[in-house]
Amino acid sequence: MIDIRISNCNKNYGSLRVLKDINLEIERSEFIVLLGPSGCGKSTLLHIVAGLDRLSSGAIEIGGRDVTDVEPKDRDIAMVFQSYALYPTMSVRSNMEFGLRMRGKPMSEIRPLVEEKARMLHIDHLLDRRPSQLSGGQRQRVAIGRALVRDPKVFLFDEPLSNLDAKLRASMRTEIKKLHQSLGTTAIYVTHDQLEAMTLATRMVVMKAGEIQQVGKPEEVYHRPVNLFVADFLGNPGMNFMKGHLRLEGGRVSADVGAATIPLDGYAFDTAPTDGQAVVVGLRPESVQPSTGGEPFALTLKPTLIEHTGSDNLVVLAMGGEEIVGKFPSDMLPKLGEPVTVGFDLARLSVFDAQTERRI
Amino acid sequence: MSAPTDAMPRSNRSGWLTPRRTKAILKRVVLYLLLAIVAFFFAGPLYILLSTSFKTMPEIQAGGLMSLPHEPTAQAWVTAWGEACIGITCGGLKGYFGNSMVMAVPAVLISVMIGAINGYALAKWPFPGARFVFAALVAGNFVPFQVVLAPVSVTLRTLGLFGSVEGLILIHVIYGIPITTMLFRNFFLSVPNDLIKAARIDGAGFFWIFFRIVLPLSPSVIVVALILQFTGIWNDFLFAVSFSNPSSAPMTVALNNLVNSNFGVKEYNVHMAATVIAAAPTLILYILLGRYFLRGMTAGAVKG
Repeated sequence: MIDIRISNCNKNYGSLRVLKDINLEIERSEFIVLLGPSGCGKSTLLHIVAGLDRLSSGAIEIGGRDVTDVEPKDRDIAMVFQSYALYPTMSVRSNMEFGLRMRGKPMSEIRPLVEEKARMLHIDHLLDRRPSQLSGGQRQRVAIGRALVRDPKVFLFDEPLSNLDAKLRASMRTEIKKLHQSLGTTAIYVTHDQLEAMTLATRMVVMKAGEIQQVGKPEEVYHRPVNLFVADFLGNPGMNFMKGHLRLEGGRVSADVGAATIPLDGYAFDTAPTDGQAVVVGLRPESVQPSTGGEPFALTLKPTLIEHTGSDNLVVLAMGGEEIVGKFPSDMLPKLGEPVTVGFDLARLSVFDAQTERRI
Repeated sequence: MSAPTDAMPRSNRSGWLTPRRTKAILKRVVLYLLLAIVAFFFAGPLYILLSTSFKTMPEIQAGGLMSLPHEPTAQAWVTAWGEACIGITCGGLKGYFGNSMVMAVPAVLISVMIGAINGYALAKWPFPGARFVFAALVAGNFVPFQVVLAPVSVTLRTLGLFGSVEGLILIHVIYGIPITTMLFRNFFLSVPNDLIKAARIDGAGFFWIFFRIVLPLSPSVIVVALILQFTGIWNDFLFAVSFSNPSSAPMTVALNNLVNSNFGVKEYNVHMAATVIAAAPTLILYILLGRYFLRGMTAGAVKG
């Protein structure tokens, strides 16, 4: 059942096109993450769904109802902001009550509801404090609580964790995930943090310059990026790219990337390959591993730099005139300048047309 | 202020008046001298006003402007408040003081309220042409009041408000709106937009957000607006003298008529008492709310 339908949505600020013909259908109980670099239009799109921004053309449906011209308060949504946006002069309790009181709910119903959600978020002991007396993490809990008590049809999150420190961010991320699993409310979540996107999303939407690049399950977007932008944007360290040409010989396809010729027999082409086609072959660092001898494709390369991350060793390897990065287990520590044999996981290859930058 | 300890480094203990120390002391002396002059400049007239107002006429005529009253008496105050002749009536200032209050309080409250709502709309609910409206309002601050005297006069006559306190209220409200709007608009720009958005999603409308969320954040700017407006309206002479009649004249006009009266002996003690009475409300307001005033003036600068 489709909960949110965004159709042919455009947003212009003067001659600047912030959103270009966005189409997106969101099923009930999905957790959609809008991901992209800053300025890609993801926040604008969220604000348009919220009704805080008007769209230049197109339509928004929520729960089967056209809400394009409906005020935010009548859209049955709740939103959590990066800045928390707690009302500074009100207590935590009043902050959480505000939305329900605005809707004319009797206090006898509001009180127990607020206290229940506060317990759920472990902020029940903070109810009589002012937002300024809370830590960042507590404030964001209150902001989430304020959204929860409303029991909306859709949750909107606008980079809710970006103001928190790394450790708190990770634990809040887990909590939001648990919350979604137990409530099952449809959610749209905007972030520029790919880790948040990968871990939270049931489906993610990668955006760039006002256009949707790819929509899909996180693992699908990660392993089968539709173009070079998505491939490059996701993953840390980033995907290795090797420029070269396709060779078609006797029904077999391979990619000549200068320093090596990579067989593409097992590669599932989306479009038919042509001989001599300029391509970029992409392979994530975790698919470049020290050889155990059994790989169908291995190369012997010289390490030029090693970075220890604790859990892994990132090994920079010279390959022709270029460099590729391999993610080695922490106990595999090659020596600088001493060639190592690395196996390529060919099943994880991505091949892009060099001209169109699309996956082929 | 503590003594300039940094001017006494341990290594210089042997020589008492080192060049460095002499320089520091000189700096201090000049500083305090300047401050004393400025303080005298502002406090001197007030001292003369107060001391003269408690003197008797013979004592004043005997000279000694700066001396304290020998036999302090409040008679001049009683006269100024209830008996002095202003024009052809001899009822003192109290009626005019009342006129000023009846004029200033509503004019201040209304102009501050309208300015706050205007500023809120301009800062947080941008509409097409908002910038033009704001620019026009800012320009309104620079219109010299002399220029509008004739048109306002005609307008008030047409409305049947000429010579009435209501007419003065109307004019003060209208000419107060540009400055209050500008003040509030600039303050409200610092209120995070996310707050407004969150409240809109929570179901609050334009006025709910204004009264429940934005105004409670703004006590300092409200005080600044109140003080500015009250001082301006209470002390206004031009509009008051142009658009009032003897029965609706505010304090400033009455004080002028009293002091500049050409009949009989000039009762300086009464004039001084009258002047203090005329200045008292703005002084008291500032003393009561002054700390908010200072806080409000610097709030934007610190918060960023």
